[in-house]
Amino acid sequence: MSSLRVRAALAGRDVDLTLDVAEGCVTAIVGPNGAGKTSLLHLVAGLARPTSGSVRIADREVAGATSVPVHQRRVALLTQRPALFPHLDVLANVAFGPRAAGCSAAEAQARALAELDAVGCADLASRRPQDLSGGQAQRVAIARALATDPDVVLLDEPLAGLDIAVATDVRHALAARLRGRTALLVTHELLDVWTIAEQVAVLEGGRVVESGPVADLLARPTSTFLGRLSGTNLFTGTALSDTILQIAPGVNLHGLPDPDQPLAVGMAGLASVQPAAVAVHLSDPGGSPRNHLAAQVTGIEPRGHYVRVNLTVAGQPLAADLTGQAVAELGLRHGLAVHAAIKATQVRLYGR
Amino acid sequence: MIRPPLPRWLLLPVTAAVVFLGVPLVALLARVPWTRLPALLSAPAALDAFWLSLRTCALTTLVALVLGLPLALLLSRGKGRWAAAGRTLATVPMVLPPVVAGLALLVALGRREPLGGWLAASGVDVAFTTTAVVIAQTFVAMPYLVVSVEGALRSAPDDYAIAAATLGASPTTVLRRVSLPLVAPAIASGAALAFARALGEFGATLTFAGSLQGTTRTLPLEIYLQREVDTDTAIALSVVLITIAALLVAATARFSRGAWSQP
Repeated sequence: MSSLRVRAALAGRDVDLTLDVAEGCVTAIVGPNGAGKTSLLHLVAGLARPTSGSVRIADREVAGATSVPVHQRRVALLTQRPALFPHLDVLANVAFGPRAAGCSAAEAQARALAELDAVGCADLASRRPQDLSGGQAQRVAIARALATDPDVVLLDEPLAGLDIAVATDVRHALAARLRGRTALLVTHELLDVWTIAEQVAVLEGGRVVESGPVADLLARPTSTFLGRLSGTNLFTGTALSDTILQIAPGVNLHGLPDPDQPLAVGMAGLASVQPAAVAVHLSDPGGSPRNHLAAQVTGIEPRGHYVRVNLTVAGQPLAADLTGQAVAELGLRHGLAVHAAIKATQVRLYGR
Repeated sequence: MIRPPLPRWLLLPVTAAVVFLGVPLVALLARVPWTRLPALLSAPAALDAFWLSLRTCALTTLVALVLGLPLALLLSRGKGRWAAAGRTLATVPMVLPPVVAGLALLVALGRREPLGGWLAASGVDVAFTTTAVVIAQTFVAMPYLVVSVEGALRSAPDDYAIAAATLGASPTTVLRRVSLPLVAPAIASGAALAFARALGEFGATLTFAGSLQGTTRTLPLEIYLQREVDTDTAIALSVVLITIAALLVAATARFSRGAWSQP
């Protein structure tokens, strides 16, 4: 594992990136399409050559004045397509890297089996890639990428092609296998950022516009693309129990814990709420919903058949989707004090 | 899924096409003197032609692989004017009348020509030898291999080679363990096509290599020679060619069926 330092530009594509990744740190790369996320990975992997600047891995310059070819960079690349070699079985696929590095067939196979075991795929060793499900293939691709002991792991939306349920499984395998490695993870999924990465860098227009620890950036998502990353409302806070997240002093959010990543008392946590699950009242409604939050209207955007009402709750943004009729009847307008009601069963709580 | 059907009237031209293609073959097979076949085929001239064809075609396929694969690899990566020029050069012999190809080879390598003369002076006499047969056959057959393999390489997704490189494989290892194995079915069918084309080669061979029994008189040349003198022998040898051609076509179909399905 090594640190990564990027100061590289691609003049033709208006990309000029500055990024530092500490040794053993997983950094999520987020941003709109065309922001330069894949260009960043290509610059590090050696699939694109910077027109100016350099890329350094640990104290080795791999691009810049000198250019180290792809196969000598010790950089693994994992994309949406697993790209397992169809003419080799699973074991030979994973053993490919160690073999290319000069290991004996027996050593390479032992290493491959260990890597397959680490992602829960040891029983697939003799299968052909064509006979694997999407999730299995991506797990094998993870094992294959890590079997080379790469200095840097690059991941380009590795979960994007998978069903939600399968993606959840693979996400956990990935989070476990990437811990302590230097990695860049390009993703559109906030859950990936939260689950896998420690740092996050936001790219826009070929530049890194913001970067820092995941918890810090999520705490102030209004300033960046992160806020728009998914249509889901997000709150950061501290866990008071496995079903209560304190998002501000005296403001608590009740919810259901994520079975895979439950809240740990006293630790940082994340709550997600769909905008459609938020009801808006002029006075505190009482009733069954566990969450009644004092809120203020900050904006109203008509969106075809519904209206997106932007609120702030304890300084954090909350979007509610209402019908135009409801907005008119309540007389919602900018600056109005309201109450937001959310059933606890509509709030999902994640620990780290 | 049921596809929308083709119109029924298509059966008419289809029947015509099948008859058109089938009748000559059936007619030939009907004329085969089956009882005398072993005797006809074991005549010295027939055996000579058969073994010469087999030997030269095997060599041709080998040379086409050794020279054609690197060319196909380079062309598949090529862009722009030079690649277009290279592709044209590699495919022109496919559409050239074979007699013209033979003439071109003769003009280039004939004993009285500058290059051929220089080769002859250095002790390499090419024209009218078995080597000339292989050269003529390779000249017309190699393009089939190049075109087949280049097409497969072009349509193969880049991400396998990229994955292999990021796993630490040198360019040679990527080629040997990933890129070439991935197009193995196309290489096999391209080689079979080249072999078949070499087996049927007539015009270029006759023009450049001549027709000398045991040295340059391959099966097609022998068949042409016997066609009026001894029609039965010509027909018997034709049966041999048809059999080999049918086997090659079947093998090619098998190779393309065995192509790696893209996951």
